[in-house]
Amino acid sequence: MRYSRQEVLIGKADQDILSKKTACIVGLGALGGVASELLCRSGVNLSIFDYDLVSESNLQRQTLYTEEDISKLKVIQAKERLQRINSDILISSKAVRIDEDNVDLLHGDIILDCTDNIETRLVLNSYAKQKEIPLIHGAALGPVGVFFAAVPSGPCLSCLYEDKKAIESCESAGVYNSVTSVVGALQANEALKHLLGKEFERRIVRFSLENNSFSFFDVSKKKNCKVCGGNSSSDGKLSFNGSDFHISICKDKGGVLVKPYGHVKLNLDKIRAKFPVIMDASVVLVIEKDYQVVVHSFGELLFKGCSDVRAASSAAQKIFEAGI
Amino acid sequence: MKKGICLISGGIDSAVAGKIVRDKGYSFDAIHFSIEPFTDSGPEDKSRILSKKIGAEKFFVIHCGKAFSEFVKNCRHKYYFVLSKRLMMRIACRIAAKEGLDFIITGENLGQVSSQTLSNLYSISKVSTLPIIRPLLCYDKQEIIYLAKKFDTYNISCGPEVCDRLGPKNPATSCQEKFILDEEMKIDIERILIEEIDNAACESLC
Repeated sequence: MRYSRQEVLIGKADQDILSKKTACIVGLGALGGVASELLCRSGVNLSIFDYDLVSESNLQRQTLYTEEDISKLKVIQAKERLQRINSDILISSKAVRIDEDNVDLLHGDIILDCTDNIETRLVLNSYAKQKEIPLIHGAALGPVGVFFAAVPSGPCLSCLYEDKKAIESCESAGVYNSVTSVVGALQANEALKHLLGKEFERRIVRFSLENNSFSFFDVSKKKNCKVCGGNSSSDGKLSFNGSDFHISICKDKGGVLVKPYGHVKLNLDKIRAKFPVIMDASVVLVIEKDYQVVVHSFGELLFKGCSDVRAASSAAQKIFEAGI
Repeated sequence: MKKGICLISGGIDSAVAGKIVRDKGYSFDAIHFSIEPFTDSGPEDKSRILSKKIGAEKFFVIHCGKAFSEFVKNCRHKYYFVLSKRLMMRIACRIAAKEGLDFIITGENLGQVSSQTLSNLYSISKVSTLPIIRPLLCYDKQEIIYLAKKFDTYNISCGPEVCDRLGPKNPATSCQEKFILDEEMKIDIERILIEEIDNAACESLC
């Protein structure tokens, strides 16, 4: 009875298939909340991941939570609520921030990327490619939502985002709850198609709820894509050549933070030799390069007092090139 | 009347902690540990404004960027936060002794970050020669933010700064004292203490 309305559409046999499938959902915010609830109601087992606590500002769009959940771990509150919605499915949960070192915690038939940052997205992308699992990517900002499914044989996130240095502020640019709900619902709906081996959406879907426009873009594999283009390193992790990094602006423009994608170990001796060092703490240096720059051996650069993203970007490239 | 010394970082918690104690009727001085050049002057500037706002009488600044870099260079990186907090606690106690102050105030909050687990807080407490008041110990962050807004310190605390990048990626969340003592043996804590206290800057806020 529980699935009668859905079985009319997909049939009893497919419903049984769903009961044996597991979807990994990374991020239990607005997208992950909608997607996990819909998949839970559809009878798919879940494996959910989030490291964050519920805060008041989440309630505007994160439909799994109520005021009582504030300051509690999202993953625990989500699991409890989802299990109350459907006690038949298996739900495993882990309060952890997914990164290169722990991404192998993800065991399932499909991964839903419901995160809010490009670093984690690219970690999921490499892992999904390596394990040959479909990755259902979703994002929302302001009135705009984006959906894209990266399948084992097709183009991947890295094909789209390579050379793109996303510039995001720590303070969010805001988002409508209707946009996140549409993206989450799209992710859940497409996940069902993948799990059942049906034809699925291969294009990027981009929509704006400001003027209700939906656009579709064909995507092809990028030549020499580091992750899926045959050039990928054997462990499937991104290798770093000094030019792919993420730039964000610190609190109230206190500075610019530069983080390389993938695993980086900078040779600080080479950097010491090339730039004037103001302070040396062996694994952390402060050097002078137009701005004072804090250089971490794991590749983070912090440009103090800088709000000029372009200047930081070109200086970062020189520092990385010196230290690799 | 007993008088305290409040460790102030420029963030949200320590100012709220100080204000709670002030509202109980106790007076105190404030002490800030600057780790320039690893950060900018944001934390120090904000600490000065916050200290005045919450009614501190004097404002001490300790420049410990170099001292902390010695921990990073010589000690196991994962203990950095406990080692640096123990040094701050020692310095605060020495300044308090010099100034005739009776207790320490911190904005520490159980479980908020890695250095604030029960075992790490215990290890930090052990080097103090004075009673430590931790008004926020069992508050939720949400409650602390509420108080910060009520006390009108929230917007100051949220002002511009670049974060501390000296810390490890994966800090220790629990530590046995013998391991911490082993790490502290690797540096000359007494020399650092004397240098820091000699170089402490002090200004009156009244």
